[in-house]
Amino acid sequence: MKPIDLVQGTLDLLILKSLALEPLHGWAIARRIRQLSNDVLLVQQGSLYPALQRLEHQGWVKAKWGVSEQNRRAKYYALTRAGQKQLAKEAESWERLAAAITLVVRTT
Amino acid sequence: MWHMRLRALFRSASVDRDLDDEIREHLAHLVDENLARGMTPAAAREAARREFGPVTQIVEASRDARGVSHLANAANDLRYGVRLMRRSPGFAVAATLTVALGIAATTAMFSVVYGVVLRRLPYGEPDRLVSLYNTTLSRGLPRAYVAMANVYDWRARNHVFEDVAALRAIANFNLIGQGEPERLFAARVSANLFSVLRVSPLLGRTFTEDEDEIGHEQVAILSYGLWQRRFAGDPGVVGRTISLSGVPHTVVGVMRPDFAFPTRDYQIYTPLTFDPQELVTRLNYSYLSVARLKPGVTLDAARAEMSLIMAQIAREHPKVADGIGADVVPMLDAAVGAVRTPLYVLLGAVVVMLLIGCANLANLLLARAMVRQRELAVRAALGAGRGRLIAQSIAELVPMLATGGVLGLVTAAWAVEALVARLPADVPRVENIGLQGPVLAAATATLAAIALFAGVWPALEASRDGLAASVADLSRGVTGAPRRARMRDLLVVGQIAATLWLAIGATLLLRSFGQLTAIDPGFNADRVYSALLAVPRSKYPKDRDVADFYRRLLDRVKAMPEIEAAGMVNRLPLGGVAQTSPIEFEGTDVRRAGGAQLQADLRSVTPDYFRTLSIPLIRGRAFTETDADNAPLVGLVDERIANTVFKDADPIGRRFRPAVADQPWTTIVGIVGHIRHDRLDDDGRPQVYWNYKQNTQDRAALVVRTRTSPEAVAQSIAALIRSVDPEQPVYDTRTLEAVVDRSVAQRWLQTALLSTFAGLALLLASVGVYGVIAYAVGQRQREFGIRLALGAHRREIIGLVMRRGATLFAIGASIGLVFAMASARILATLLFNVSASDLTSFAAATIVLFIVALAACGLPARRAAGVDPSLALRAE
Repeated sequence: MKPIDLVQGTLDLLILKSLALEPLHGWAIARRIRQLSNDVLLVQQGSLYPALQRLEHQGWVKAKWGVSEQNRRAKYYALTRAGQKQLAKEAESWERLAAAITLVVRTT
Repeated sequence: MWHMRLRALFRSASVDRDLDDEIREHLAHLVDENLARGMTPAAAREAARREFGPVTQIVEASRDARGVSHLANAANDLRYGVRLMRRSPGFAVAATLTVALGIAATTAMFSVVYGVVLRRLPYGEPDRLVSLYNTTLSRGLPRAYVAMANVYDWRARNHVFEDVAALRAIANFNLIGQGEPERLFAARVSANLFSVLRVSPLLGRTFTEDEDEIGHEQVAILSYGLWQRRFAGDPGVVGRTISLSGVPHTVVGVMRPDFAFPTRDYQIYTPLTFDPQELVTRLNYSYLSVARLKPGVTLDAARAEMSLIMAQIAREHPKVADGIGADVVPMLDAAVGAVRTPLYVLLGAVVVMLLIGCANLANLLLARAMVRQRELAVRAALGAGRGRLIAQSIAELVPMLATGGVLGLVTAAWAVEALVARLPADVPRVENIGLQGPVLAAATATLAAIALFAGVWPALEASRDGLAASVADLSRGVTGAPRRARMRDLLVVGQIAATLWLAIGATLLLRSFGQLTAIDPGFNADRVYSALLAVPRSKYPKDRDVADFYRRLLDRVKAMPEIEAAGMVNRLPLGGVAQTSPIEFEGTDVRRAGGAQLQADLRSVTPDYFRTLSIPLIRGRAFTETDADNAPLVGLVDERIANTVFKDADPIGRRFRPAVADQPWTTIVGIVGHIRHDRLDDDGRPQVYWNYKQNTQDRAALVVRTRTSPEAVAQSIAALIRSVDPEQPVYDTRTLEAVVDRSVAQRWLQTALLSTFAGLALLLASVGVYGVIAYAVGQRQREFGIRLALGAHRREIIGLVMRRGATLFAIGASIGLVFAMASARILATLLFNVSASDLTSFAAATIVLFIVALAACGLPARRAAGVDPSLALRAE
């Protein structure tokens, strides 16, 4: 099965979701999305960064430099309280949308 | 949100560096991962880059995501603007100076207009204040002083005024003690004046009603300026006694700094008392009157009511009040009416000049926009929006506008100071002039207008074509869309029209001023020095005492070696103060042919006065010291009386007298030359003279003709007068030439300012014409090259260029002439002895402008003719 390109706007949700467990750096976020989706969702890794900047600007994530498990300098992003709320909101509206689309797809 | 953006903006460099690091580390992770999978280092790096995506775009997108784009763009544009300025300094300097000149001139002029004409009077509810006048239309007096009897009747009978106040503005004093003796301008004012104006004193009180009574009037109120200057701002001055012309007065109050009533010259106020007989005779018209309209009463209603009252008075006192009316004028109009038109004309001229400058600016920007059209097209092709392009064009202008604006305001501040110092003494409300809030607001608005006119519009034009034309088109050099060439031509036509308009106005004023200075006033002011003095009757009670003082003084003055001649007169020619009376001549009809009585200047002079001022004795004899108070009363008349009243008959031996009450007859012993007393531009009244011993007056002007320079005697004259009487103040000391100049100072200033504006406009317009023609020549270089290659003469090329300039000039000049004709009526009020449609002025201004335009076209035309055909063709 070919990997699916990400739908615009869902990237934010995926990033927030992958940060829900623990703070991660950019490369790890890309890896996490891939793992969580069983390699179905492909993220062009660079496109994470505009999204991360946007999320940081909105105040949903905050960033801090640290050291990765590969012993390299890396910037770790963590969910803020506002980010957690946003995740809950986006997850809910996504589920509603997905349910609606599923319904449409099945009935036609 | 905003502070985040701002922080992002200022921190953007460090944030960008952060992002770069982060991305580098991310790529390193990917490379590590790939190496771990067993790829070669080169392949690992290649795969990592593929997986990551295009780095530059990602950085750019990240920056946009941070929300800094608008501000960052604006900052970039500004930075770009500054860079452009540095890259083309000639353009930057020209544009900045144009803006600075425009802002400086308009701001300085508007601050004068605002301070003098527009700013509200500094009194409570000033819009309800009016000045009241008596009128005698049959004698051509639309606004004259009023009689006290009328003021009393107005007060008693009107229903339109809250109250009516009166004052006598000529009531001057010698202040003695507390330092040098000094002549003070004083006004005697009715007690209710202060409540009518709704002003309160800074210290003490104003006058009470019973101080208007004779016997209680020895109290005084000081102006703030006098209090500061002579009494060092001492609050203890209230209650003190000061000597005014030898009479003790108690200071009861000090006014506030902004109180400058009736004008800033008045420094002290005393109660208004008058001879009660005036209420019976009703003949002394020497008072000013101001009143406050009741709320809601219109000017027309007040005028109607006053006409009604004057008609009643005329019925009740037909002998003295027949033909006398009244006028009601808003107080501000009464104060500034005479200078309003000239000031508006000058403001208009300065705005026109600003527009001419703006047209240059717009033209420069249009030309530059065309040069940069290719760049604009490329930017448009790369996706820059039209709004973005326009915003950029304006942002580029900002450094120039800001620099020019600041430079302009600084210059304006300096210009206002210089202008105020040079404003003639008779311009009202000068103390209000300054760079005040509304003036600065107007300057800011002007800057915005310049930005719109000179910046936005060319930007719109450029973006229109820049977006329409393809890059390929531009590379082939197909620029200068005809529409835009027409725009530039239109700007130049407008400049020529406006410049010609100003030039004609300036030429008319210059010719008018030339006419004025060519007028012979009837006396010679060369090397004459003048000083005024007024003797107090408390010190010199009898006429003989005064005459004796004058003679002692003159004897001392004449003994000075540098003095050629010296004399005295009660009113200095062109000094701004008159003394007149109707005169009747024995044996002639009192009323002249026109029906009006002959009004003459009454003069009391010492015998040498005529020699001092070179006023010729035409026939008979002048006065001598033997024409004393016990000798027969003799007088002189001027040529004009001799010619108009006596015609062919000999006036010598005939008699005249002032036609008021019972004056004795005076026998004419000689005829002297006529002089202009009131103004150079108005022939005014004829003069009659008495010897100072037979008609002695308290006020005198000392005139001396010096052998060397009149300024040199100033010190010694003052010292000499003080040695004769140490309590005698001398005032208004200046050369008679300065007195003559002062009498035409307003006209001179108008002429000088308008000529300056017209000169600058000429300069700006010549730059405009040159720019457009030079640009057009540049555009057609290839065509000229081809023409020359095909055998055209260089003269023909010059003709081609000049013809284009001539066409623009002809159209612009025609429009300018039409405008000048249309506005002649406004200018006519400022002109003397020159018609507002004076052909000579129109022709002269047109020729000057034509020559300037010719020169402005000539340079590019010669360059066009000098084109090397082979080079021009190869350039493509």
